[in-house]
Amino acid sequence: MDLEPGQKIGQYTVVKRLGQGGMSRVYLADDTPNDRQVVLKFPNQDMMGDVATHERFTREVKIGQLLNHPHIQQLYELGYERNLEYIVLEYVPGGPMRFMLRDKKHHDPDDFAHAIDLGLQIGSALEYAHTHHVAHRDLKPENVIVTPDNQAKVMDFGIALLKGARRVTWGPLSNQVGTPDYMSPEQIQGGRGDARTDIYALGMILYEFIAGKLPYNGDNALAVMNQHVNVKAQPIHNFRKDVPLALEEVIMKAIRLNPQDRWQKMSDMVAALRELDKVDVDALRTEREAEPDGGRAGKAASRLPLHVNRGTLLVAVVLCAIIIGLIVVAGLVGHHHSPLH
Amino acid sequence: MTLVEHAGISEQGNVRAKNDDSIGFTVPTDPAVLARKGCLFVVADGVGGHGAGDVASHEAVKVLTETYYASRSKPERSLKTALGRANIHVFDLGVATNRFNMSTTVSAIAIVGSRFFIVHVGDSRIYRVRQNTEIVQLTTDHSEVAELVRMNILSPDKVRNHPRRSLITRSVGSQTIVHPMVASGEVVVGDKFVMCTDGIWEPVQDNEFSDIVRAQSPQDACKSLIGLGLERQSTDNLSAMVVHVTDVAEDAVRNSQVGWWGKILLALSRPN
Repeated sequence: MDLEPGQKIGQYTVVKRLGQGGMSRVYLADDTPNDRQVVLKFPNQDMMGDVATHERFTREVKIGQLLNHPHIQQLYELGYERNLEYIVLEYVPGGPMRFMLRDKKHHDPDDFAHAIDLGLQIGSALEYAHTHHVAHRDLKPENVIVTPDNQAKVMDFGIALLKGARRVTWGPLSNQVGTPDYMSPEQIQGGRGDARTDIYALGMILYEFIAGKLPYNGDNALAVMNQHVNVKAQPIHNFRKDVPLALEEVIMKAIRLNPQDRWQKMSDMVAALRELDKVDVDALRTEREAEPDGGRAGKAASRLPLHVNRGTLLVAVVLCAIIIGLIVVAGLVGHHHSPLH
Repeated sequence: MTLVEHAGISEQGNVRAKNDDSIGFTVPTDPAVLARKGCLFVVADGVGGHGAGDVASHEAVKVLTETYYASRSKPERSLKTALGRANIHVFDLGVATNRFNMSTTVSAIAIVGSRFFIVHVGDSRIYRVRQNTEIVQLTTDHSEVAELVRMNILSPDKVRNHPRRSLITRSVGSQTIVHPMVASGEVVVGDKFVMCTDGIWEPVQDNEFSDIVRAQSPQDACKSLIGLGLERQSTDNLSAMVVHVTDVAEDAVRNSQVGWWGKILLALSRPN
């Protein structure tokens, strides 16, 4: 179903389509009674047939409505239009953080202050959600909008909650199609993830922001996942010498392989970012250097499979045997015929 | 003569807007064809949504089946040829209709005399349940999570709930050349084969497949498997086929026990 500008949906008037992901169609609309603009999100109908799925969806939307924070895109309500469900969200002008990462100046001296600012905003949003027993579990630059005046808002919280529920991942239409650049080791290994998963993802985002690249790279999703699980991240100063040590250690602690070794609460990471001069840099560096390398790095690399079929092998062995046989025979015959003096 | 009982059900399920799965079964009535090429069972799970997945799976099953029986080669070779032909067909269809993500999984098994032959691409599955032994998954999943298991990053019991479980590493129709998994083995009386798409094997555990298929007729087993999938709120299309081998041709048994030297001698000694 495609909505046209000017079309009325409940109290909302469609202004234009904002985009269409694999999971839903998104429109900008006027919410005239409330004198504001909103975003209407229609999940693809492929997913919404079952009663039980729908009930879970409604419950999760109610939870989404509970989260009310300046750095979380607000979920206003669930709407129905001709048997189709849609979500009404706060309209946040600006673009996903992905664009900012792509367009920013490489190694800008303002990066550090900027990173701290973003870290505090996103961190405070997650800290708030965690106190409501909600973890995002899919934090990435695509899920953070940055406004023209540099305010960050985390989005897709409500949808992420759905993914936590057992059977409501959205199959082939899920947003898990790209390389899993911000996915924590425990999630890759099939764990559900918790607050420390969000801490890991935030650490990755800040690392990328400052260093200009992620610690783990590759076009191949399996290679990237292997690194997340098995390879200790290189310190930021390997890529950017002027990074302040305290900031680096705070970020590096967020992305430790083992969740037990990370910041255990988002409030601790946020507090550290807020007061970097109070951070015990030496202790964190010692801890980081003591972190085991991942242990299985290199061993997880696959053995090259040999695609030799049995028939070919048999022929090869027989041929070798024949050749060896011939050599032996030739040797014996030659020996026999050697001139006797 | 090798005889089978079989049943197959493919359902849209409660969540998806249409059915991108396809199943096909062929038991030739001509005894000569049955002896030479046996019966063929195919299951396919289409990818690409928006009217591409259902076309891909349906066309793949159709072309594979037609090519298999039309080919003069032996079953194993015919199957590979048939898969290759189905692959190109779906690929070309995607190009012609401008749907470049049109592709499908394909799992096919031919039961010929006392042997089975499998050709397989993707993450649909073929299991064998044999009396007095554990259920065996005959196909290897071509999926990211299967690779993670192979790399010791993910344990097998975590596959079914993994967020990336539906990402497959090989499919029919996505490229001009496909590398299928092939397998073959012997068939004995009483063997049961189960074929299903991930809409079924995700919510159903291996031991449950085994229990259901051992205890029930193919028709009832299919219904039970689909029912279990629906009950556990599978968010996918659900397809299952069950084949029960009730008799295996004697000639076929005798022939398969004789090596190729023996076959040459037998052929030479047979009066013309």
